[in-house]
Amino acid sequence: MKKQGQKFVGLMKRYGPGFVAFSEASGRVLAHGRDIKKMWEDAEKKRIDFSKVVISHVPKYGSLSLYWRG
Amino acid sequence: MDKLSFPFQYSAIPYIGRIFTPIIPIKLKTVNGVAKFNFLVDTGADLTTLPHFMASRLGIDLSKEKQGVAEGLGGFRVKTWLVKVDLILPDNKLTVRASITDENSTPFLLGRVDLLDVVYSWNFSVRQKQIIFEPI
Repeated sequence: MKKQGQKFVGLMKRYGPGFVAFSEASGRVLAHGRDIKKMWEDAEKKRIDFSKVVISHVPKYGSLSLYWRG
Repeated sequence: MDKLSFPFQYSAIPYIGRIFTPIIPIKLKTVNGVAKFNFLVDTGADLTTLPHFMASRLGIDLSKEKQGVAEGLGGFRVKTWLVKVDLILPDNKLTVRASITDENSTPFLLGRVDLLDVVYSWNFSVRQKQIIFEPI
């Protein structure tokens, strides 16, 4: 099975606490904000396709690693 | 309904180390189209909870909804509205009662009402490293 990995190690320091919209395919953060409203406005400003992102709360402490199998 | 499986995700907490964090992606239909949101599977939460801004994104008029108060860790209180939200799961769509808070920093929480109590059992399988939603 194909394995993808994504790490939020750097995102905690840069975006936490807050919200990010990251590409489901690449894992790249496409929009961010200190709260959901600011993140959403950033995403709309950048004309992001909401069907291709995952919106996630980013905590302040620690890091978040995602592993899933495609 | 079929069994749903979501792979484990992990956080690293200072002085604690790597820990399993129960986060799963769930779709919601918004005014910008269907999008995925990472929800924290929170067995301690009565209701599925969303931040205030999501009301407008989901087309919910809060002036028509019942107001309440939610209390969290340490006794802090926040104004809430009781709403209904459609959760789009991989093979199913469920309407659950949910709470929208009065502020925009609330994380997305998946609560027990209309999910754990009536529809699914939640199994955190360490052997399979998956969160399994098994229909009751």
